[in-house]
Amino acid sequence: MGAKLYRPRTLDEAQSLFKECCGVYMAGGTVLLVDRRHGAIPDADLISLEAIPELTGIRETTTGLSIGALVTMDALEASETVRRRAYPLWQAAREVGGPQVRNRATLGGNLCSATPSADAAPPLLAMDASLTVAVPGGEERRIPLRSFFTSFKKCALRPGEIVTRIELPAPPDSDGRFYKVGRRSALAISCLTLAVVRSGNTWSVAVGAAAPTPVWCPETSAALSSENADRIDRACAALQREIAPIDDRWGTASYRRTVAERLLRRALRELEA
Amino acid sequence: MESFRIIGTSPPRFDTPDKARGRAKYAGDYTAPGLLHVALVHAPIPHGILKTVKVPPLPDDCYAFTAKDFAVNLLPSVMNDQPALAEEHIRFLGEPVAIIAAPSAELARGIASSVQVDCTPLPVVDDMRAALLADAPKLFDAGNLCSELHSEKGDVAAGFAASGLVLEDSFELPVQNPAFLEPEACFTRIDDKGRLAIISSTQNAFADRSACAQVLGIPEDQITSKAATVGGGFGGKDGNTSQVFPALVTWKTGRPAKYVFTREENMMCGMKRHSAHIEVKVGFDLGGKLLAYEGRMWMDTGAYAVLGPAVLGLGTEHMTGPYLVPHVKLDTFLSYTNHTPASAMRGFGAPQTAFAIESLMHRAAAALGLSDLEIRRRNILHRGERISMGAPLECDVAFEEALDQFSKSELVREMYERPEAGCGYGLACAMMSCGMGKHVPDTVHVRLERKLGGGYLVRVGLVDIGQGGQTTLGMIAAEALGAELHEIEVRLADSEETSDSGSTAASRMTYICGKAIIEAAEKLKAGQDAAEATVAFPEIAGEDGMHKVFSFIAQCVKLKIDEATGAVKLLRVHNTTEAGRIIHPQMMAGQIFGGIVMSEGYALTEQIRYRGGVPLEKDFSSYVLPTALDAPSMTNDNYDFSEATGPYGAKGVAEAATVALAPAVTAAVEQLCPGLAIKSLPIDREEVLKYAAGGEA
Ligand SMILES: Cc1cc2nc3c(=O)[nH]c(=O)nc-3n(C[C@H](O)[C@H](O)[C@H](O)COP(=O)(O)OP(=O)(O)OC[C@H]3O[C@@H](n4cnc5c(N)ncnc54)[C@H](O)[C@@H]3O)c2cc1C
Repeated sequence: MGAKLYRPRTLDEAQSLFKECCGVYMAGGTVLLVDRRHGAIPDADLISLEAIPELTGIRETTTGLSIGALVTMDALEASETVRRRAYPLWQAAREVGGPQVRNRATLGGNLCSATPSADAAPPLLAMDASLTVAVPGGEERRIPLRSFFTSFKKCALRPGEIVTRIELPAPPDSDGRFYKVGRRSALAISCLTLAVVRSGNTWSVAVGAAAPTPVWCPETSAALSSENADRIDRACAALQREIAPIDDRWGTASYRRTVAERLLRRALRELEA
Repeated sequence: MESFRIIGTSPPRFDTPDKARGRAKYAGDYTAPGLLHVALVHAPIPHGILKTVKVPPLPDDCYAFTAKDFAVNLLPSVMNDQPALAEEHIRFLGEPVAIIAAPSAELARGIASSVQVDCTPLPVVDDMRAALLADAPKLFDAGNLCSELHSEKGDVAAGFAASGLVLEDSFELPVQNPAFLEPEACFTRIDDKGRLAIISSTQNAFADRSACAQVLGIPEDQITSKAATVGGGFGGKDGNTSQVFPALVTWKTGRPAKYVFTREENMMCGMKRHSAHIEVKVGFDLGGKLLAYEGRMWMDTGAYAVLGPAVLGLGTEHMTGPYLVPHVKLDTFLSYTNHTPASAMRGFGAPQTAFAIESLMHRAAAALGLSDLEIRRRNILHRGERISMGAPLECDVAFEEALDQFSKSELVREMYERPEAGCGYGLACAMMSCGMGKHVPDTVHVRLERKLGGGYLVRVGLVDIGQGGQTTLGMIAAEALGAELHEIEVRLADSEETSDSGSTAASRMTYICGKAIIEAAEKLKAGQDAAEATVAFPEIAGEDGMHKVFSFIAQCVKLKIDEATGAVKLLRVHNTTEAGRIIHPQMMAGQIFGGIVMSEGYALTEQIRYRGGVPLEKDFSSYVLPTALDAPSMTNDNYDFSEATGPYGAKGVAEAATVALAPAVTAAVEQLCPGLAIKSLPIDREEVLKYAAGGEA
């Protein structure tokens, strides 16, 4: 382990370092350092993003929330604003790992690691969040989260890019639910997650750990938002088409399908009550 | 009733201040100038013939050792089947093949991972029953049958003929990992007298000494051995885990050495609870009285016997549970397979067999229209009656009274009188022996001394592995000597300071050392400045060698099932114990609660599965232990009682809480899932989901 740890104070500095030393960005390190220990990634130098001010803080905007990529799960859980305006995200943050992990794990790292079971992804997909990205050279671009996850553990970031903030619309009349199914009550890798958000008659559904990436389910969402008498059954049928679960140690594909549907029905009962 | 000054109170534990302040020294905390860190080279395949071990050129100050470096490459054990390092035959994945020592742990591990182990694979024995077929590949020349037991009491055929209800089924129990917080660890050095000094995380410091003496080919008097602070054992540190490896390095190099398992090594090489396949037929009369039990069991001891034959023996002895069954036939087999060696783990075979009998008691109750409590009441064992293998129960027994007390507990009354809608309730009972049993030496030798400046010194060769043994023995000494607790010092598990008293296992320490301390205290009170006492377990005197002292428990569970996911959530567990007199009620409750959570894992999530000899669960992200958030709310009460042969009336109780929980959980789950009959652990939530009532879909 001859790797160095850098602690740049600006985005510029971080991105120059990235170019010079071929290092990797590190937020909380809870994915990165575990992967390194398992030899899954090379022992490159580490560029910590922790000291860059643009990446911190939770702010209310005119349309919703702007959350720094370096905000930890702990901070999300402790935020009254997040609880009030983005309830499913607050629920998801509370269920990540255990206290020690939540103390380090960041929202940006959760999304950038792009695992199918990233718990913050389904609520943010359902809420139609987008990412502000610092492009090397000083430019900025926006990536809708719904087009961010490209394949298993891959995302739309180009080399050197840094996610600075997560912007999420949060209409005042919106409400939502997040459910996580794991093998135990804490420190559980998700077997399935589901987030449902409702704003008036507009519904939005996203599912985690049931496809190579977390998925937003447009057909399911549209079916629920329609006025059809059988909208729920249609939504459940659409849901089955929009997820593509596999068998693994945490559950079989058919179990995941059953659970996804039951959780969707549970969400509807709770949100329509 | 006798009255006590100290027994029955819950003073602070002797070890708490050091642990709370971070001063307690675990084996991995020891160091010395010139320390060498040890790493093992592990076998890359589960079964094969070892051809060559190619060690790369070693950097300065690094060392490599193989089997031929041991004077005798054989660990002492019942079956004498296990080498310290594999030499020709590899029998499980991860079996130690070579030792690397280097000035840093990283360097040692780095070198170990670059060692090339060439072997010719052999067909893998992956199933404990197939292992015994004539055409199975053999782990040993004599075949894969490690040991077997056959026992008959009465006439089972007549018993079944007289039965109005006969139930039959088979059950599968998984491999469980003791999963102590502190992994296996050992530190060794040469002391100022030129002797090998061993400090280890162990349940038996004296066995470490004899194992090292044997493999190094040196007399025991050239070795000293003591237990460091131990962070849990649960049976998994009863025997050689890591000790002989740093011992060899120190003996060969003259340098201090240390070896601490990684968690992955603990999963791959550490001793496990035996998986089992049990086939049982039981007969009842229509009043619910047990008439006949016919059982066959296979246990998988993995690549080496370790304590497997004794585990098979104890499991068999407990097969019919805490009930009187007139006609019993038992045939049990211990198989070698290419799996991680299984050995002692808390309960020692009893949790496996209890699952079978308790599951069938539950089904019989339903079939006969009796309550789970009533069917057990009708079959209770009393003193003098013969247990499964025919030995009479010779200790004081108040299981009936304890069950009565249990039935009046809040949770059992809730279960029968006002169950909460949507919740499942279940209960089960068990007995658990204390002492080694069948022909295993079971004697302790303690010494008490008056200290010069006042106060007393108690010397006992057993270990405080976290259970609080030091405190209980101190309490017994204080009570017996008429002294205050702060006047007592207890020194444990050190070959220089104490005498060999066997292993800290089998729920034996409090009972047997307590007796010896009381005996020695009498001599001290008669005026001596120092006194010794040697005491043996009662079964040593009995001809059958079977256990004589048993504790009894009953457990009631309340749980919920998530109808969307099939997940089982334990809400409440109540435990009633009959373990004679309770020395320290708070530590007693700690034992019980810890046992409940350990068994919650056994019932719901923990297992190591093997495919072609390769474990599917290799670390703590895949081996799912319960967390604090999963633990139910727990209560414990003790039936106030006294065992005539016990110290102040105590029996042993370290293991009892692990025996009955799983069948109580499955009974409660089945209550919420009509039609579901659970036959294997851990409970499969996908199965549960198919049956969970009122499915939301
Ligand atoms: C014991 C344990 C339990 C866990 N439990 C859960 C759980 O329950 N649910 C869950 O979802 N996850 C869980 N995780 C995974 C992990 O903790 C979370 O996904 C966490 O949010 C990752 O954030 P991080 O800051 O630690 O990421 P890091 O490890 O620092 O980074 C992860 C990846 O993202 C990149 N990256 C991070 N931030 C940025 C950025 N701003 N811009 C560009 N790239 C970036 C890094 O280069 C790296 O490739 C667990 C992990 C552990 C070790």
